[in-house]
Amino acid sequence: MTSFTRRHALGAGGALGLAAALAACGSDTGGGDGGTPELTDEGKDLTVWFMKDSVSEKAMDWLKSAYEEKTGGTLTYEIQVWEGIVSKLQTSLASTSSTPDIIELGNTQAPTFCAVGALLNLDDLKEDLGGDSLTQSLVELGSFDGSLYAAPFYAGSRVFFYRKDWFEELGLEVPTTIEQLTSVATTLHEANPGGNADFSGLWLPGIGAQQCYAWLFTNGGRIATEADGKWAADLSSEASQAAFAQVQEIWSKASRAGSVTDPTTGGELHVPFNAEEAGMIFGFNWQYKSIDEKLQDKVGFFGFPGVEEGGTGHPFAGGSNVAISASSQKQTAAVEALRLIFAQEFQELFATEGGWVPGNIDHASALGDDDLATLTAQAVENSVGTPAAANWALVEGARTLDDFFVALAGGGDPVSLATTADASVTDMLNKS
Amino acid sequence: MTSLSMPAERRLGLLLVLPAVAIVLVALLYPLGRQVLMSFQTFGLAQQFGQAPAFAGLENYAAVLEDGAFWAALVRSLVFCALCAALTVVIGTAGALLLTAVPRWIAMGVQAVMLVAWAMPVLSSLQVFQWLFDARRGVVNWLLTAVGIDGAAGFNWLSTPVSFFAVAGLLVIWMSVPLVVFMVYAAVTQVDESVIEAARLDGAHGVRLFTTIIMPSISSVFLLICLLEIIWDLRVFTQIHVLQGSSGITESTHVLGTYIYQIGLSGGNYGVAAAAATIMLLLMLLVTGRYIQLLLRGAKD
Repeated sequence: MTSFTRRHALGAGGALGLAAALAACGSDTGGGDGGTPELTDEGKDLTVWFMKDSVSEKAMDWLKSAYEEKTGGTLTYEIQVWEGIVSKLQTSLASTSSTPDIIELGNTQAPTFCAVGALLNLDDLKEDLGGDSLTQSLVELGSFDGSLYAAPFYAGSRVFFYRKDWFEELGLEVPTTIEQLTSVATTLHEANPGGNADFSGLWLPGIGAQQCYAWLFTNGGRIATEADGKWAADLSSEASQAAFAQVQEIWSKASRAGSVTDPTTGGELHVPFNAEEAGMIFGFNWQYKSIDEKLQDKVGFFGFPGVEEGGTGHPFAGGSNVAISASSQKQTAAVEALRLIFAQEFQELFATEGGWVPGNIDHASALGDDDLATLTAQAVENSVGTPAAANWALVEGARTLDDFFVALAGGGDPVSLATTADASVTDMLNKS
Repeated sequence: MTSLSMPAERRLGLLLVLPAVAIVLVALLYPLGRQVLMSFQTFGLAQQFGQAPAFAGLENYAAVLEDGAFWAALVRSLVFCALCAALTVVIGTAGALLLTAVPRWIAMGVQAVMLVAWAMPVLSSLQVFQWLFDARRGVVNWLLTAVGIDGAAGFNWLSTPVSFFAVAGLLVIWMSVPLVVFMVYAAVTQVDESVIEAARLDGAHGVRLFTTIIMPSISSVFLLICLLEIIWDLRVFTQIHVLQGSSGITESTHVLGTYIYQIGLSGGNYGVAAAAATIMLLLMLLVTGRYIQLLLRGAKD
């Protein structure tokens, strides 16, 4: 891949890769049977699975009452946690009696469920949901064999939060290259303006694979690339290794968070930031709400820097897709609910309440035009996803990349760690 | 009993035993049969979502036996089980004997506290242990630092396999010692006082009293406890699985239970997972066979 725009990166993996890679599994897996099947219609009371921190209370309330008004049925929300969700979906979606009707799928997990025939074909609905205005990268992750199975729900990407007052105090400038990022983080770390034994210039947790992908992708490395229907992990490539050297430098010189291996602690970036234990954190725009009010004025933002001056940073593309279960017995009603999810009101609530970029980008302007909103939109625009491979969920399930970065943070040898991880990722992605 | 009432009584007996048999059939035999069948099939995600499974012969078994990770998990499971089961039984038995020697109200109080520990849901205990052993804010590291142990501050207990299993083992033992205490205490208090009295008069004390008088009297309960502990500790899953999520060293902390979960539920390869589960079942029978035999012989006596 020569260009690293999100559309391009995912496009190559998505449109060509998925179809080719899965040809081996056979197109008769239920995923690619072409025409839209008959919709089941046995009731209007739906069970909806949303992920924790995805949809705001306000948006859920709106959807529930709008649905009730439109159909007379009720929506029951069941909020799921990311940990272990892949296994849970595998067993629940397969059963007509226990399946939720509408499900949110992490964008990294969507290809797996599209490919196995777990989801209802949405081709006939696509135009109504937003057509060409749907976030393209998520459309690609939610498609299989050219058909849409999981519609773009929302997208997000990370930006840096930093303490303006400390930057000023130490005469630091907002970094515009990865090298500068390291040096700014190191200066902060050594100066320890928080006066705290646990202080980190950049609080980068060892368990934060999704954060670390920004270094990998910006350097031009990838987790895995696809050619001729075969996936090959890419962690040993020169570009990837350059990225690992950079994160290891952060961990050795500018962060005390490398030993953090608990995902909850690793995800709650506002905790060290509020405790003045972090000069910088790399998080989602909506995490700003969790920053202490008395610190909020002192917080500045910048996007992930490029390798060279003027270059573009490519953070990880976070986000979700939304789908209807193929084994749901209430698909007709679920389609109605899905239409409401793509109504302007709900889409705008994603932006105003959640701080996400909604699945239909026509409504993204609701995010606002302040610094944080603009940087977030840019980050999403430049973000890169995990491989659009049907088996990617297996890699997530095995925690291969999470453990890889933990080992890196612990000072492990990047070359030998990459060799081992490459072997198991390649093996999992190509399993039929 | 007249010869006429025999068949009627037998019929009633059969009728009464039927619900129990039905439950065993539905809840145990069906899944077991399904598992054995699946272990001979190519059964992945596509099959889970409706595609017909193909017969795979012994391929799944070969895949498990050729996998180095399986053998590593097997060794970890056996060592972990042996250590945990042995420590649990020793600590539990010692605790029970201690209870017989203290005033009754203390024994009651200790048992009440233990009941709480024992009745606590595993996930809650796990959360408490994770807080206790938290690298930065945990009380364990704070204590170790306070008594002057270098390197305890910020030490991540879950980040190396040995300390990971130490924490997991401590939790497993902590949760199962109470039951051993209850059972052994109950058994010991059933031993005829006069026998112990007589032994004491004959000069038997301490270890000798325990090995020659108490132990033979409670042997069947003791065997049962050993059997249960071995089964529980060999199939340990929840504690390891949850701690793995915070460890960052998933691969090097798999035990049989999590290994099977890894290939089956996370990896979507149900066929191979079923084969691994069947192998684990056979292993369990092998390890516990001798105990079951002894128990059955005891029951006959």
